[in-house]
Amino acid sequence: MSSPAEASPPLSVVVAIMVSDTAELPGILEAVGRQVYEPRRVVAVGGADASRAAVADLSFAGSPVGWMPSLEALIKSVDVSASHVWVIHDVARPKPDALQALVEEGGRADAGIAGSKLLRLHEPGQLISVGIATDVFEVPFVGLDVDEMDQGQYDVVRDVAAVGGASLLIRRDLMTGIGGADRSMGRQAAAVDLCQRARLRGARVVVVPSSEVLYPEGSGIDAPWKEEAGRIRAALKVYGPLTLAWVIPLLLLLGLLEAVVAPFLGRWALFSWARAWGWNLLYLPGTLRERRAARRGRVVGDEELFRYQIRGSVRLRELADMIGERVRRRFPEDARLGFAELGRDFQQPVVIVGLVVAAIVALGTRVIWSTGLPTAGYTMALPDSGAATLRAYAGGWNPAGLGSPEPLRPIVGLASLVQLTVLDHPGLAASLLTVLGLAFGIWGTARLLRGWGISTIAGVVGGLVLVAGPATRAISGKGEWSTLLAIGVLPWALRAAVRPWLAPWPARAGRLASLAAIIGIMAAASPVLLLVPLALLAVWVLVGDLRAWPAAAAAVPATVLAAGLLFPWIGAVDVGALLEAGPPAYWEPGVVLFAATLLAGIAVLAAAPRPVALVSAWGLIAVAGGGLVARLGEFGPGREIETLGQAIAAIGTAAVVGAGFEAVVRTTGRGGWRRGAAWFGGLAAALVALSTLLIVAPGRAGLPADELTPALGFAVDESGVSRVLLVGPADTLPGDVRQLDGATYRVTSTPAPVLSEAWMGRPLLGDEALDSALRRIIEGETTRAGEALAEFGIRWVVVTGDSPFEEVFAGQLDMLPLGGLRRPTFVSEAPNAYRAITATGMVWVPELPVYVGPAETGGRVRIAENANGRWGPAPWEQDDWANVVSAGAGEASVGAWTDHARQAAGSGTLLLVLLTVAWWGRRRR
Amino acid sequence: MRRVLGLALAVVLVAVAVLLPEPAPPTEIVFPPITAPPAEAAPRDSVWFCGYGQSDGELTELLSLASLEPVTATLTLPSPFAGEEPDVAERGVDGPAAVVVDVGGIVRRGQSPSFVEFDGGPATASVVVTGPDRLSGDLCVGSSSKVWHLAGGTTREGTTLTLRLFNPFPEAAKVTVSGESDFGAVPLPEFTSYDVPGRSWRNLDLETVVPLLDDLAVTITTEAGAVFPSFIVSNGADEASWPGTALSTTWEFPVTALEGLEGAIVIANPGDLPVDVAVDAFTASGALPDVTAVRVEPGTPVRLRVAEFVSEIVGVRLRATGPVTAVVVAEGLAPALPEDDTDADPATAGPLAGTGGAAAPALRWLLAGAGSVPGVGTDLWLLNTSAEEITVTVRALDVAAVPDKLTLPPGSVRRYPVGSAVAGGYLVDAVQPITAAWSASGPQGAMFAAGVAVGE
Repeated sequence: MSSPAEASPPLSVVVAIMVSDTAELPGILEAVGRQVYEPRRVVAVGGADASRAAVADLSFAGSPVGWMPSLEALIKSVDVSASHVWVIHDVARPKPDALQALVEEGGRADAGIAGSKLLRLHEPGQLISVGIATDVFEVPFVGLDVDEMDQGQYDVVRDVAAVGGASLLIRRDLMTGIGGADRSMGRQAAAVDLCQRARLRGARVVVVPSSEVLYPEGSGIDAPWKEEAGRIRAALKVYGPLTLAWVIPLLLLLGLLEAVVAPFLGRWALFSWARAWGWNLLYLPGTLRERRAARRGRVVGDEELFRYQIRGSVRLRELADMIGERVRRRFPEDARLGFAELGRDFQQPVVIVGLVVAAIVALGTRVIWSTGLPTAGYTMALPDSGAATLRAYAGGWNPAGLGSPEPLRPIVGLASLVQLTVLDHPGLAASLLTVLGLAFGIWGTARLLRGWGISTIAGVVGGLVLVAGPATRAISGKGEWSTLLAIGVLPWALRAAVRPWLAPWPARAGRLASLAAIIGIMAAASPVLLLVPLALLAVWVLVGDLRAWPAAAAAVPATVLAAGLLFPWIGAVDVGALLEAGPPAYWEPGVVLFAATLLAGIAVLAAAPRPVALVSAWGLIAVAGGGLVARLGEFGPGREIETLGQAIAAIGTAAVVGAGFEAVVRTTGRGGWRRGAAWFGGLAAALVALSTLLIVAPGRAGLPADELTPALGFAVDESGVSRVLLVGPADTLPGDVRQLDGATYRVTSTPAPVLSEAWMGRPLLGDEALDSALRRIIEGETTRAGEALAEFGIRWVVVTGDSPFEEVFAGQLDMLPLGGLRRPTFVSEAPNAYRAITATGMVWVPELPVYVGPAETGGRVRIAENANGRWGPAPWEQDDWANVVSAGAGEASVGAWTDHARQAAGSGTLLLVLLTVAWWGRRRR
Repeated sequence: MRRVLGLALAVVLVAVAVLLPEPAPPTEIVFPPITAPPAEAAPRDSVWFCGYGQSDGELTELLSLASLEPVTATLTLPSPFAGEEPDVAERGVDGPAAVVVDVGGIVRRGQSPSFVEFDGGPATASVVVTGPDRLSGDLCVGSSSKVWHLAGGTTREGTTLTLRLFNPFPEAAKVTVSGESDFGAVPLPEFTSYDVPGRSWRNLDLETVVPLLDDLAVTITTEAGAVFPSFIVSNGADEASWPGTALSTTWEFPVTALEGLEGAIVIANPGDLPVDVAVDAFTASGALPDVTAVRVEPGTPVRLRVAEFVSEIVGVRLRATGPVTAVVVAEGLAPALPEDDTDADPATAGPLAGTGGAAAPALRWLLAGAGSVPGVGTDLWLLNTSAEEITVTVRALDVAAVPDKLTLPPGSVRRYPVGSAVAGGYLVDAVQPITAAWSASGPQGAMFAAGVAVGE
């Protein structure tokens, strides 16, 4: 409802009908013909020859309707007696007083451009827009709620950043000056651009709500990439250099972020983003010409443009809203209610429990957010370059120890993929992975248990126990970061299998693909867990629900497919050695919490209703079975098997605790021994759940404290040109270790090892040479250990704990003790302790998998990595165990292993196929 | 039913898990000592640490480098000033040969402990210091130990006793010195957890700390790092020095005395139980088994004057029922003082010599430094404690030298005179294991030096 116009100013208006569909022309001409304010002339603009032919037979107020190929041509043809041009889309249907209101109110406001209020064509009571605000990135923001009714709430003439191109009145002289709309842009972006350029010349842009135009919603917007390209071009045209300096990079990043997040919301934005930027790159010269034209004669600066812009990013708001909506939809009804009416229902238990759990996760990971992953056990910071690490994973060089061509662990490739999606920020990627691992673990457990009849609250508590309970703390306490991530995925793998298998075959195929992808991702984080979902599902069929046999059956092909995702690592791994690696498996869980878990499980099993009792039985078997597996060390299994058993026990503990809480709820109101037993089980479960708070104080998600990074602080400024030999007990050394007469040691890069160094390959020539050198040192054949270790690029020796090596290195003539450090440290006096050095003594810097340094024509550089003929540039020579290559290019690198590269590409393709089929099947569900 | 099945399965699994045997805990890992003293001259790289040495305006220090293979020897003389770089020199030894290096040609700064690194072997080094009133020295040490024993010290009137702790390594060492005398244990609290800076040395003047003890033995226990200790004894007329030793139940001393010097074997027992020691003497003509026996109480060193059980110059073998340390110390007999010279110091009696023994006989011996000192008489001492006659080849480590063959009767000691400044050292080859040492004496004093066995 708008107030009627009062008087007709003596102005002359030319109507420019923007033609997109010639079939709409009669309708728009009729609407224009009904206008109270009579236009002087009507011209159809654009639409090429079809439009031209269509208007040939049309007339308006007795005069033939003209045609012009573009607004620019129209402007040139309009004589000075015309004061304004009313630009209106052919699909728009202006109300009879629309033009009059624009002319009168626009003139009263002395506006250069006046726009109409747009209402839905088929629901005229609902608003489409009443003027447009933008953010600094030119993204339009109408500020209306979905389906917002027009109740006159916005009916005031006001300045706006822009008006829609569906109906706008523009002064002819202004249009002549700024050159009309930019035809290369999407229509929405072009309208914003037109208004911005007008404002740059000092013209006011107002919305006249009394000018009402009915419009089909969604019209006037071109393909997403075109609109995005137009927005970029608009920004490039109008902003000053200072604004552009920060707007353009942010625009780039925002688009990339959207491209990354959008697939999780069911749409693709990457290609639009890439196409938009590519288009702008292609048309940059034209944009620069337009920029000169737009900014020439400007009377205001960027501050004026900012005036009607909203703060922040419209796109980010939309993404957040969509994510929020998704999350709400994922929660069960009771939880969704809590989200939807958070203010009113804040005290709902599920919300409180959710907040407490979120707080525990946030506090329990705060150190990782602030300082990154500790270097302890198999937890290490991610490498600086995600792309380089991904190349190393796909057939490149394994940098652990003295290097090896053996494939890296899948977690390295997985982490580097995540790192690339966060703009190659290793710290952010590691933090995200950790937090997501915990959050997904909790969420997944809640959903898994809910499918088995356990309420959300009990499930969330069970999830907390999964990621921070006693078994998981035993895993994370050893620094098994990647297994921590795998545990976060494990309940999703189980849930994907046990959900009902729908009849349509596309849906089944999608589920199978989804299950395979989830198991594959879990196994990428911890390969020994590959068979765990299958085993646990088999147990569930046995003790929980015989009808769930399709879940276990589906897990078989899914596991096989998932194994395919582990190439190239799985193709080269020595399974026997893998399972026996490390100290013998013998987990000794804390007696109190282990007993509490067992008692809780037994009490619930006895007292709870059948569905809950069976969940408890399943959990009990997992706890007991996992504990059994984790203690098989006497028969050969080592660290990996212990971790496997602990992971199984972790999911079992989560189920027992979830069932324990549920049992209390289910027996409330009942009497007798069952209630008492359920309460007893609940209390025992609560004790286990309370123990999860133990991760809060340290704030490292249960991971060990970082003793090593501070101990290696002395090497921070050394650019990694030398290595460090770490000696000490195995549990104080990072990642894999080697042994010499029972004493453990390992070689790492400086200033601290990264994740790609965690797992070493089989010993090669260099490793054997190092072993021999150390043997010579400990047997006293040399007292110049520094000299003996220099050929391996080892400059420092750090004693990480009690080790017989300490005494050995203290008795060396060329190993200087460094005082004031956290751990006993010796530095070599040998002059050539570098990883790469030329014959002339120039030191090259490792930027793995490449070494770089000053080029020496005809020179040679020795690369202290295990000898391999793929090192180059040619000619390559083997220097004992190391490599000597040409120094002529100033760079030495190792060529890719074609087989490994193909396998990695195959795995990546398989993952994409699985995800695509999963998505497709979900759509067909 | 399923509840029962679940419970039964869980119980069985828990029971099996509980009953699983625990893997054997890892054993404590201890690397063998770098090399247990005494060290052999082996065919490999080696380092020899010479705690004794002095080179200044009056005294000349000769480092003898003997090798059976062509090697390069790197001499390092740490500076007494903290942070100052050591003086380093390289010498080639075109083995089998011996090279005598005048340390004064490298640096003259008084006390000059040093170490010699050979890049091959078998090789060894010894040090000799000569001057107007000085002829002293001994072999250098090629092995390290956490516990060293030094016997034969004395702080009686007229003598000075210095314990030198040489730390050639960069890391500071921490040691505790404990003493024992003929009066029992000697507390040395000031030398508990005593710091010895890296690449430096410390001299502990024991005669000021524990004066007027006829016999003093010390044990040096290393808490951190490593040191090489030496006793330096001076009687005003001469000086003698010998390095620390390990413990053994057998000690052989090819040389115990010279003309004008009275030899004594000093035995110390750092253990907890008394040790009975039998003494065998070996003359040029044959063995005198069990010439005497002595019980050595823990913490109380025993001095056996050789002249008290045999009148001639002999070699000696000790056979103990427990590990002991032992050295031979020989002192010049006091000359008759002019009756009208009441100011003369009676302690300036005469030359002083001392060295450690050999824990076991060997087939080959390197006698670095033998024959290197100009103007003194040098003798090699060859001891055959077996019941067999042994053929021995003696060869000066000089390109032009002609080997000399001789026989050692069963249970005998043989004195083999060599010239003055004729070679930098000698190699002794025997068909059966023997023990070898050397001595030198002249107007300026006397010295004993043990040989170094050549290993495989």
